[in-house]
Amino acid sequence: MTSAKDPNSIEWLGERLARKEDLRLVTGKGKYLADIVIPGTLHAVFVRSEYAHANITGIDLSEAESMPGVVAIYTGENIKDRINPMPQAIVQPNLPAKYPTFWPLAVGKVTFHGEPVALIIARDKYIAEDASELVLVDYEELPVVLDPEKALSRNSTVVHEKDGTNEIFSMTFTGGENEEAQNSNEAEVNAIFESAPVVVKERFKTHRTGLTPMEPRGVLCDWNESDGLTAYITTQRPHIDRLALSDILEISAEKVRVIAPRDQGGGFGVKAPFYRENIIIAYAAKSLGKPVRWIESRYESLMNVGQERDQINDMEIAADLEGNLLALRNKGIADNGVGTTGVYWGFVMPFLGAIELPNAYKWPKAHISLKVATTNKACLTPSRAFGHFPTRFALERCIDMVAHKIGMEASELRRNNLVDALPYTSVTNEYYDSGDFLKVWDTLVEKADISAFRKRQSEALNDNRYIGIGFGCGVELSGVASDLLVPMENQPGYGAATVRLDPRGKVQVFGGDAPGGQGHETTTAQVVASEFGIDPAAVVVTTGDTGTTPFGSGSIGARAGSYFVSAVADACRELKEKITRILAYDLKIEARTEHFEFTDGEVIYIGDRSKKSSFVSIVERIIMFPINLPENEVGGLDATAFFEAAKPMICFNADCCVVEVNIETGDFEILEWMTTEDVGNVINPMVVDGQMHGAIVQGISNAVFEEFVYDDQGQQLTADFENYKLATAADVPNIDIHYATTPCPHTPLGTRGIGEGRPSSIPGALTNAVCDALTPLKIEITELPLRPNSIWEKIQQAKQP
Amino acid sequence: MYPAEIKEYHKPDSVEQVLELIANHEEGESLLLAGGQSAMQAIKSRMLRPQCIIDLQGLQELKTINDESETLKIGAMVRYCELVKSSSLNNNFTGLKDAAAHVGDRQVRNRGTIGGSVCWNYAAACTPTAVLALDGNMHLISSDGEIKVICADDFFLGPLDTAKSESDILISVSFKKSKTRSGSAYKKWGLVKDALPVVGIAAFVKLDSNGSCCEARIALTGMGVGAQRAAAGETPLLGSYGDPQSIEAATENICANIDAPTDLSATSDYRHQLIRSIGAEVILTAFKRAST
Repeated sequence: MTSAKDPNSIEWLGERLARKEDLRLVTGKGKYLADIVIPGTLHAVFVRSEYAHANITGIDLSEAESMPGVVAIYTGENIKDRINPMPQAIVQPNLPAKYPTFWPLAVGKVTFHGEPVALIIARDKYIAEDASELVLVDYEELPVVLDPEKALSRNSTVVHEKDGTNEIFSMTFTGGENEEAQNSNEAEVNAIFESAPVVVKERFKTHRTGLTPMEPRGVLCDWNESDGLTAYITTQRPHIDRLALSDILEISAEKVRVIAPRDQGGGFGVKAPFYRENIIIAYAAKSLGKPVRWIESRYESLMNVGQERDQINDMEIAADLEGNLLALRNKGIADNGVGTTGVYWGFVMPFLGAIELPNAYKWPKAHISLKVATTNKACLTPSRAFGHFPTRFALERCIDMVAHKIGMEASELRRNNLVDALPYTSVTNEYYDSGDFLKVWDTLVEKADISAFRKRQSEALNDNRYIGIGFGCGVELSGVASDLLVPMENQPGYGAATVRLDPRGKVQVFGGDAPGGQGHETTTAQVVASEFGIDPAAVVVTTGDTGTTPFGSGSIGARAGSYFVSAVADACRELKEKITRILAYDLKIEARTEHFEFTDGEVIYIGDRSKKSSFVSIVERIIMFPINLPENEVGGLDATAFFEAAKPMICFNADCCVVEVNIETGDFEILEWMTTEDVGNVINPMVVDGQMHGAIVQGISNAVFEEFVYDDQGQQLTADFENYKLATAADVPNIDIHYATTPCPHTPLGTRGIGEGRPSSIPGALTNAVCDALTPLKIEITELPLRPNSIWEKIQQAKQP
Repeated sequence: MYPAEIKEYHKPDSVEQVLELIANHEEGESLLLAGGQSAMQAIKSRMLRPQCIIDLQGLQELKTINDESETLKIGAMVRYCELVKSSSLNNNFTGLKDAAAHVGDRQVRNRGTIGGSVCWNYAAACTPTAVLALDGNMHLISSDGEIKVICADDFFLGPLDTAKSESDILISVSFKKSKTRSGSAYKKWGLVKDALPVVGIAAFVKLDSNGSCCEARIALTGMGVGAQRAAAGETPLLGSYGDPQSIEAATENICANIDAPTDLSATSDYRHQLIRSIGAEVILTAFKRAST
């Protein structure tokens, strides 16, 4: 089968090629973790804590153990001397924090509702579930810690006693490395605020919400003495999981292979941490000498993972009357949950959220600090828009409030203060490598046509209809450079790819990251096809298997369009060098790679187009007939490349939406959603559109519908989709995407990594639009979720005389 | 989410066989399964632990809509998607059509049935509310052969509770056709479009030859007690022509007489506001439909 291509296009980059993976995915032929079958597999079910905070005073296993078909039962007590506890260096950031010690199963006490207490291994899943009901755990309830501010007070109950405090992490992000410099910076900021003509000070709250992959987590582990451990894990970072399993279970690393299934039903950050469940399932498989499988239920998933964003930001902005931003002051307080999750420990998200807070605006001065509190809730899990959903909501909202105070269009105030010359280093020392923010912004504002909208708005108001317009924008990471990833997660940021040509001219690409539906197979094939001048159908991509792929830190932080495809392109170019060296020799011409064109299945000498070879023949000649070669050449065509940009890289986007608020009920409808994106050079516009659609929908769904709720005893009340509400297609608007790109100068293809941070500018833009619609009532919303119920309450309050 | 052990599964093809199967099992052992859109979730979460499932999907005799001269008789196994498409539900019974069209998502509507929904009577559900406003009659047969007809007012007892006993099977839901002009409507509000109703309201009005209302029935869901009559809202409509003042009096009366709960989905005050807003729309639509 060959791929359909625009006949006028000379190469595959920029083509709307149908995704190679979609046929199998939409016809039910995808192979997910639960589709991997190993004969004789045992099935695991966790007994999870019913309490948020309680001592375990006894566990009676007798009835469960005597059930026919039950093979083994593990508890914290009987594994704690056999499994190394966390933290382990491989999954611990280089950041000063109070890392809790924990085992895969609770030891001594439970610290959140849903914590694993015991593990049942049985012949089948039914027996395991039946037996799990027979495990009797005696609990002695302890006071619960649920409010992050109270958790930080001196007299609070402490979740992890060894630390003597619930403050897992705190940091000042501005002013320099040492405390003295930070303090003097703070004093300068304070002085600006004292004399500023305009100051807005507000407390912004974002609720606990995050992302919910369609396929929950799962692990299938197989052990044998000669090969060691093979672990199939739903994961975004198989290579890290491999090292972590090796260290924790003390299995020599060459005997651990982790395989992320080719098809994963979404990751979104939720599958990026190293989870405790992986450890105990691998341990069980090794101990029992039998394959063991655990598939997470939706209930477990909503109870344990996908919870982020839970944060208070006390924010202040100083400005002058012309709308110039003078200073930013923000104190964040994040609710970390228990913090017992490898790689991130909860606080790494708010940490990055604080760094990314300044966004695309020029701040002459800022003071930004953060405290993170441990509580008796599930640990924060990374969720697309990693860490900066709360801070960006606060900032974008606060900027509108400044504009309202000055009496200026918020979009104009934004434009006045956008970073207009790149590269640029932010007040939190984040490096913005390249792009043109003004071009992106002006493209959007032109489409939005604010003066026409204001006319439409006042006409609507005459009919008692409340419509409003809102803006937001976002600087997002395009991959995560080692400069940031080493301190933040103790892992390298480079991208790695192996490109292997076979004698038939077909191409295999191997990557160590583990995608969950982003379209790697297609975009990678387009890059390879474009480099070699062949059909993308001739390219197959293998990811996620540590046994066959080069080391990669995982499918995280928009690494595909930035780091991974760049490594692929570099590997292709290395092979092209070799191909052309040998071809030039065969053709008896003096020529270098740049004198050849790889196109339409041929390698052509540009100087004399009759001098050429078919791609297949020259490839076959080099791999299969390595005789009569130039001096110092050997046969074979296989290259691995590692790509690291000299500097961290970014992408940029801007959003505009129009809403109509029903003044009677507070319900609102999104009438229009427009965006402009700088994603650098686009490999496949359909894939990029899809990333934007998904991210914007997730942003809306998080901002409006989804919320994890705990009651005052720390019971999780929203662990099903009846109560944790996700937007469906019927709940979201059409999205009108425009591109205003600037090629990235630091990647071989000019591409940028996109999509990861994208949901973060949504809640601000949307809430700004709702507030704009309610301008006659002077309503300023400072809390999420943005629900009709709370909007209606604000309308009622505003109507009070 | 794996169910507790299910020892038997039957898929009979006649009501007679169903009654026999019910009779052959102890109380609490067997469960009738209609479309399975609620029951299967309850079984998987082990809220229900039936030893025997009697799957009603083979009962062709319960899958028809009989448009008779004086009554409309809807077989218990008629699916929501069929209610939505049926022309027999035009005119008087549009409210039931509205409700069926609002249930869950497309997949649920393709499998869920009217009988399953009324017998389950979930705390927040569209169909029982419409059936209550339209004064439906539930036709049941007991395993001892007794035929019972229970009107909606007596049938819906509370969340997950109805007058159907375990030894009964629901055969059909019937509605009397009005001799004079009548109209009905239903609407729900939920946070997302396919959510269960936070508030759902159904209204039925019958008009005399002058176009004034001679009978009104309003039913409500989302208040934590399953489908319930909102009789307080009916009185202000009697004798009215569906004017805004009467409709407002109706919704205000409902609010004054209904305890609305506060929960994760909405506060009590907000539920009252939704009753005012959706209630007014639904009543007005019922009047409009009756007048055309």
